[in-house]
Amino acid sequence: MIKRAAQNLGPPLLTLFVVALLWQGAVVVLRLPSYVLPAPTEILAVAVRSSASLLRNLEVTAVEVLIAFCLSVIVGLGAGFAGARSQLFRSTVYPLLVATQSFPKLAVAPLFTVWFGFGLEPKVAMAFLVAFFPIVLNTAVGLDSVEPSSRMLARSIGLRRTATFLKIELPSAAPSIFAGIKIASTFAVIGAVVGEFVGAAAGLGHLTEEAGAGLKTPLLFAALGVLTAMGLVAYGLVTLAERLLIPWHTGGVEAGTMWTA
Amino acid sequence: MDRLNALALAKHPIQMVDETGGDKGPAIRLARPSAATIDLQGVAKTYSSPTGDIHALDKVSVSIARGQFVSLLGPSGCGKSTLLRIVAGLDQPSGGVVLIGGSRVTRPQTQLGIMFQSPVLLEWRDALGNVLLQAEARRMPKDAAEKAARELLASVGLAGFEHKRPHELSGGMQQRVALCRTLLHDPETILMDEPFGALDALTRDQMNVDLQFLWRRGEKTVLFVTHSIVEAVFLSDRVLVMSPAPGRISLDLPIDAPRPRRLAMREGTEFTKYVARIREVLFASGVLREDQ
Repeated sequence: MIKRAAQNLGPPLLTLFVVALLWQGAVVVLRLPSYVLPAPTEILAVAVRSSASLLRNLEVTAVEVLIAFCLSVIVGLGAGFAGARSQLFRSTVYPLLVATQSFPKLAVAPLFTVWFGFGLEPKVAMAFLVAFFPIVLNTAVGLDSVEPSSRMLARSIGLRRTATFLKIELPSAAPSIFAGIKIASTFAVIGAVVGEFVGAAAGLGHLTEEAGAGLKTPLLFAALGVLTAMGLVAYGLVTLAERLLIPWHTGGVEAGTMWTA
Repeated sequence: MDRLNALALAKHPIQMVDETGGDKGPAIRLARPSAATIDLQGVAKTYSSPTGDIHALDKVSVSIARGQFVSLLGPSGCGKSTLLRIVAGLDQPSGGVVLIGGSRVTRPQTQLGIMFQSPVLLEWRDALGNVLLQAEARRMPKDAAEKAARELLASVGLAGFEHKRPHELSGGMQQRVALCRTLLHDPETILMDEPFGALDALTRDQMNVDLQFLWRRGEKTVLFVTHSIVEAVFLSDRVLVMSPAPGRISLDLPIDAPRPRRLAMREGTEFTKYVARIREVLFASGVLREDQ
């Protein structure tokens, strides 16, 4: 698995390295001022110098993302299962869920600040609002697309309702569910940053905003880099869980890619 | 041809009607239950669609004796599969009754073994796990079930493939796994819905030979749906030819060839006579046409 990870990581890291080289060259040749586009070496230097601050802010954002992500998975799976099982739930609750996705989420951020203040809660609320919906949709889609022939088989051999769900429907839907969870893992990061933009005393989103306002562009880039790394790690962990839990699923086109915001 | 019709009458004398079967409702006169494992009486099926009602089955009455291998042969859309689902209790008839072992079918008949057109294997389970789904549904003792499943897999030539996933198996192997799953609980009666329809001709021949072997060994009653005249004649004690929708039984032909039947028998004169007789009926009902 480590060898495979190295094989997967190698090519993109190489690309990144080449881009950084070109970037460095462009900054030197064109003599771009640091506040417009700092050189990669400068960003690295600032990142090392501010590592304590970056780590402190990372912790704040990571906690927000983690809580929101877990809530999204619980609520998303619950709503997806309920929708697949009950037409009543589908007709009464789903339209409202869709409504929560159709207004611009940035617009409700101030409302969350009014309701929850400036602490952890409004960021978690925002990240959750952004992240849970892809899980609901992909869970429902996954359960809807269970082969009718599988259901007929279950009926013909007398498999009970719960057993049918656990042995047939859930494993059938699992690849689609994981696609939704993957999307949620990156959306949660976006939501947390949006929440921090509106009103926060700490967090990587807060840090980027502050750095931007003070024209501390190298720090802004460093914070962006840490945010990106966090998003990638979250995505990677979900992918790892997917490989461990549903090893039979070899990948391919993911159902979830159509449900981006 | 007259000889064949005479045979049909000799082997299937007109059903006696049991007047004491009134407990199932006064309107229904039941044939003697002991005479048949599967008994269809005036089974009809109508689907409603936006463009009007579709008559899939029109009063099908047939009795299948215990231990018989009976094929249902007919064109696509003649209601063969619908009929099979109704017998299995997976679909409700719009009219008529189905009796299995004398009792009326009102819900899925889980004591039967059912095999579908596609293998319907779970991709996350290996061959053994797929066969054992049957055991899990019935809460059969685990060890005994696994032993039986391994024996069944070996008997269809899948020893050593127990832990292969469906995608690692050929179409024929997948259908064999499905067959093992169908047989795991040792059902007395087996319903098969075009189980070999998607297989290549050679694999299909082999499956026919294997199925005949399994059937002879187990003394099962089989109701087998197929498109293939040759397959039907090769396997069956009796071929029921269905007419196009609304499906009716237009020929009930006993096949009196000795068993075990060899693939080479299919070129024999006796065999080709049966095939010709069935083809004649398919021409008569307009399923086959040769004039341009």
